[in-house]
Amino acid sequence: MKKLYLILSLVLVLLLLSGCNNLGALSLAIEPDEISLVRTLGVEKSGGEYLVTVCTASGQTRNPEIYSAKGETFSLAVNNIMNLPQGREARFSHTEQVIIGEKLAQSGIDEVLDYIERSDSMRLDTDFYICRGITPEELIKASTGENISISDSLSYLRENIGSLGGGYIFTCLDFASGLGQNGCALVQTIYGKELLTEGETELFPAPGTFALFNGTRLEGYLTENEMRGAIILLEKENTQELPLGIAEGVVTVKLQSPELKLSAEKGRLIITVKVKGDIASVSGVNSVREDELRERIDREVCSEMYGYVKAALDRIGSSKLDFAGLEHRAEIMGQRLNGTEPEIYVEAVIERTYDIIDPLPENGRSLRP
Amino acid sequence: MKGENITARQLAVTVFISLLSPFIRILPRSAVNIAQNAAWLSVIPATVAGFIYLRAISGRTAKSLSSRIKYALGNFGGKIFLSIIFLWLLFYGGFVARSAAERLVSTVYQRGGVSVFLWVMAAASALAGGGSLKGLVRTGEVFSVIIGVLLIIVIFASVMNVELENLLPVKVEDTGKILLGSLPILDVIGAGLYFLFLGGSVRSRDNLGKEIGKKFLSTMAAIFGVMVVTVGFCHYSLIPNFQNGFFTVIRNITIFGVVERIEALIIATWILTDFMLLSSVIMICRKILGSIFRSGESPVLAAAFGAVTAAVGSLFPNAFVLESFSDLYVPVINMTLTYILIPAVMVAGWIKGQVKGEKYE
Amino acid sequence: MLKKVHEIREESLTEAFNASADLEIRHIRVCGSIELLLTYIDGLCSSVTAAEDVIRPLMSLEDCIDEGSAMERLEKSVVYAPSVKSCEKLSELVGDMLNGRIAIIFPKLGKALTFEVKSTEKRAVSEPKEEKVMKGGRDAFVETLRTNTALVRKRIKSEKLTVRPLKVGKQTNTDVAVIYIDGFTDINFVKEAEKRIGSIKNSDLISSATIVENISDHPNSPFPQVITTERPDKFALNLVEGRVGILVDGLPLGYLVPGTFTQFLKVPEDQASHYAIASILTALRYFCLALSLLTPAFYVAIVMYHQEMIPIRLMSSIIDAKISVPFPTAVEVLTMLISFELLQEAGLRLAAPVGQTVSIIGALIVGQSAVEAKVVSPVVVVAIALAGIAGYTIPDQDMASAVRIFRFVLVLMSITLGMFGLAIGVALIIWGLASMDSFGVAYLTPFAGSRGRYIKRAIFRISMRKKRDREPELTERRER
Repeated sequence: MKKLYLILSLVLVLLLLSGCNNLGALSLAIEPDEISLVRTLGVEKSGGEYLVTVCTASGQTRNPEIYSAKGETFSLAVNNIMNLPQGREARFSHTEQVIIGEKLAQSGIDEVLDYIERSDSMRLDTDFYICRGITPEELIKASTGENISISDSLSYLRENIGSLGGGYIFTCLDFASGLGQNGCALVQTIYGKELLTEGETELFPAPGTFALFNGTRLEGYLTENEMRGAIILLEKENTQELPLGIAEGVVTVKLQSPELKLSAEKGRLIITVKVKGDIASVSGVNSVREDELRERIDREVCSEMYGYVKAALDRIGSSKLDFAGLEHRAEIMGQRLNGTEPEIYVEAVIERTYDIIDPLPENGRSLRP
Repeated sequence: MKGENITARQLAVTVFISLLSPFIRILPRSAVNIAQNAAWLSVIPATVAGFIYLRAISGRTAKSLSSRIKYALGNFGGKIFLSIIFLWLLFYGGFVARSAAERLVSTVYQRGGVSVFLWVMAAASALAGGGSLKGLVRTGEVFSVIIGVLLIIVIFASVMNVELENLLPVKVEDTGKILLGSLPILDVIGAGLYFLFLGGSVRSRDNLGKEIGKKFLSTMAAIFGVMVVTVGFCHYSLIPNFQNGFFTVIRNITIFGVVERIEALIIATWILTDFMLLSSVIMICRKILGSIFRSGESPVLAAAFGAVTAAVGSLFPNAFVLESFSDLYVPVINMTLTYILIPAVMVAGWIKGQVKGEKYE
Repeated sequence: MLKKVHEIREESLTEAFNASADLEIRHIRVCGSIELLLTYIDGLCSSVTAAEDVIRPLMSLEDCIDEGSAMERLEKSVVYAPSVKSCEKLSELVGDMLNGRIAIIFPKLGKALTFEVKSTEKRAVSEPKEEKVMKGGRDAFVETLRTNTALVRKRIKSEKLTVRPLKVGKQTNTDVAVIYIDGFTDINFVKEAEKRIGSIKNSDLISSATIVENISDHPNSPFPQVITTERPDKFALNLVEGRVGILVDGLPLGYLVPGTFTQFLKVPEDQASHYAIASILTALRYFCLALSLLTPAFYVAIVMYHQEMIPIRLMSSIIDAKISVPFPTAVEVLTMLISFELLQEAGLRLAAPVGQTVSIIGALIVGQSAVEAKVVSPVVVVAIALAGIAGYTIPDQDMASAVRIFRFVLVLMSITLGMFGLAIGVALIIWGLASMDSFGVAYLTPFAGSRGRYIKRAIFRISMRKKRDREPELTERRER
């Protein structure tokens, strides 16, 4: 035991002699009330500089706060925003969303992406958005009020993207992995949507279509059909409500995430999509027999799905950007695609388990199974 | 320390719990740099080669490597060779301590200085390295339970994030890359050889080779798991960008939304492996010095070794220099020693034994 | 002991006892002319038994011609006392008298006979006070050695149960019994125990600490290495598992060696409950041990250094709670820890009803009022209370105390270095424990120093149908 004390004291003496007597780590400690948690991070190019805007939370009792800072590089801008007023420090460890401005996206987001990948605090599964038609700073400021912040709105958007018009929220990891694999990637766009609440017009982030990146530069935007097709091809979780116009009426079907099966034969890709769903509502369909209606619903769903997939494939063909990673996936199957147009098969299984009589058909026949 | 009987199993556990430290330092980055998305398969040839190597070199009965070297090269030659290994191990210890400190700073202690971590680490390891060997190996046993449980939980939790598309495709043409990718893994496995300097304390009836083989296989199974979840987590091109691939994967684990970002916890737990490695290196240095000078095993020397390792660790000016050492110099010297020089000496010893008609194990 | 005077005479005896007031010497004449001395220590002997069993038969002694024949008759017949011993040395006589025997001295022969007429004044066997019993024997050890050995024998009805007597203490001459099952317990443990007890140099009163510190391998470690119990059932159970028991006259406690880490987390109730329940409860105790040791340090580390580990909602709550508290987290936690210890100590030392009041007032003041006065944040109170309550599940008081000490140490390390400090602290604690041995058995067995397959035995109680005779760690070929 004495020897151990001797060892310890020797090491301590050496430690002091070597000049390492400052407890460097102690200065790293920070009290919880001295930090502000960044929830949303917006980045845009402004006058050749990076403009970083953050929406922070410092406890539930305080209102969300917004801060901006500029820097020649992205990391400089982030460093400039670290020290907030009242001696508080911004922490990026809880960042939930990153919003990239359109201008920056067009000029390339290498720096931002690199920072996130190398960051010791940000998570890679942070949601990634492109802000369309408005700068991130404007959107963050306009959609953050006393009780609600853009972070809450975007969290709500993530939960309800299916019912808010479809789409899929990619994370930074999805984006970076996609870029690595296919050289291109997709990002969900958002725009500022004006809504009248309590007599005032407020701006909320609403989902647009996907932005298509060629490398780290924004190439363009997908149409709605292309976006839906991309979601199917990427096998992303996506439930959606699809209104179908049948015989002057409207049948709304609630679709589950389609199942995709890819196979390849002689360099040709065969895509089989199987979609399941329920009829959510039927209105104004009077003159159609039940079995015929069923058949038409199936057919319409199939045709819609086919249209989506075709649109996406056409976009891949025209842009030469394989955002769905079809070639990579064919490679996994041991095939090399030869550029022949893929074969597409769609199968729809629509259940009729709900009471869908609205209004009751004139002939009085119910569609109830 | 004389007559301190430990079991072969205890030594084997200590070897591999210590080696988890360099494994996580270099993997998956080094392997991915060579074998890209097929890097996870590099574990397999490394396991096969490592198994054969370790079984062959650790022998059937335990015997101290120092005595074998001295037998092979003669007393004077042996002492010179042992001194070289001793100096290298002190440097290696410094490198290990600095790497551990650097990992802490680059992952969870943002903007922190490395020196405090380096010195605390060295002091704690000197304390353990200066204690009894049985205390150290028993500590290894307890740590192996903690780390084993933690690794299983983390690997299972990360399996959800694995995308097959990141692991595949692997083609026949990739075989060369896969084999080359196993080199960094073999480098770490080779470091296991240094622990045979402690072999003299293992009970003579134990089969050291068998125990090392068993523990090696279970360690490699864990490493395989780590490689699969890390490479499968994202496209391989991203991995070199991460501070540490495995910890980045852990950062993204959320367990039922209750526990988040457990990487600080895991990184802190990983300190246990660094602690074991550094303590073992100090203990090995004591043993080697003991066989160079008869009374060189004194525990008090551990403090000096600890201080030297910390001082060596402070010599690296920055993380980039450390990385270049990690990628080039350390593996080259390690592999030269463990795969060429020491085995050559052992072969020489075996031949000498055959000629003289003595038993050399 | 008595170097100068060895002969058994009245003067030497009086001198030996320094004319002590409780030394009674009575001159008796029997068979007309034979003068004998009757002597005993007042209070140690039962006067009723002495009068009935020794003095009455002595007085009716007849037909003796000299001291020699009287002594022979008294030794072989006449006296009713169950045990008789002949003494030729004064030291033997003194020793016997101190053990509550009455002596008849034959002055001319310079010899004495001692008879067992021990005072029966002793505390009755009662319920254990410290160790709670739910299902199991309701008896506890008392201060009398023989009663205690009897309590053990009642449970182990085997001739193999061996009780080896020892005397300890320069001045006190305390009787100590080393108990084991012959042919079953590792004899090395017995020899080592006897050696260590025999080497007790302490001349003070034999207290619990004298025994424990002298027979522990590492007396400087706060972790207990000797199992202490007041329950004969626990004592007997450990004997049956292959341990050596030590009983000390005057101490209502039994000591068992070797004491390893896992033993301090076991309770006899485990043997009384269903094995699945007992296993869950044992596992829970391990969890609580970790919780008790680590919670405050972990809290400090994540709140001061690793805020990223806390989910955002919880972090927001912590920030809200912290805003109005003027002290740094380190001060808050340390203050609360010290207050908690204060309360515990105050509650413990006072009489039960007062102790409870103190606890209630303390809980109200420290808990609620401190939070309301915004002196500490509620989360800190929760963390400290959690650690404290978890600590109460540790069955052994000494183990719980060791955990309390290291809880402070770890908090200090966390305050200085965050999670790294905590990890290094834990590593050093584990290393310290791993380096310890108890009677040649690794302290951390079966987690270290034993084959790994016994780990499940430490945490899970195996079914009684599958239970083997002895603890394998204690009997099988021992690893280092």
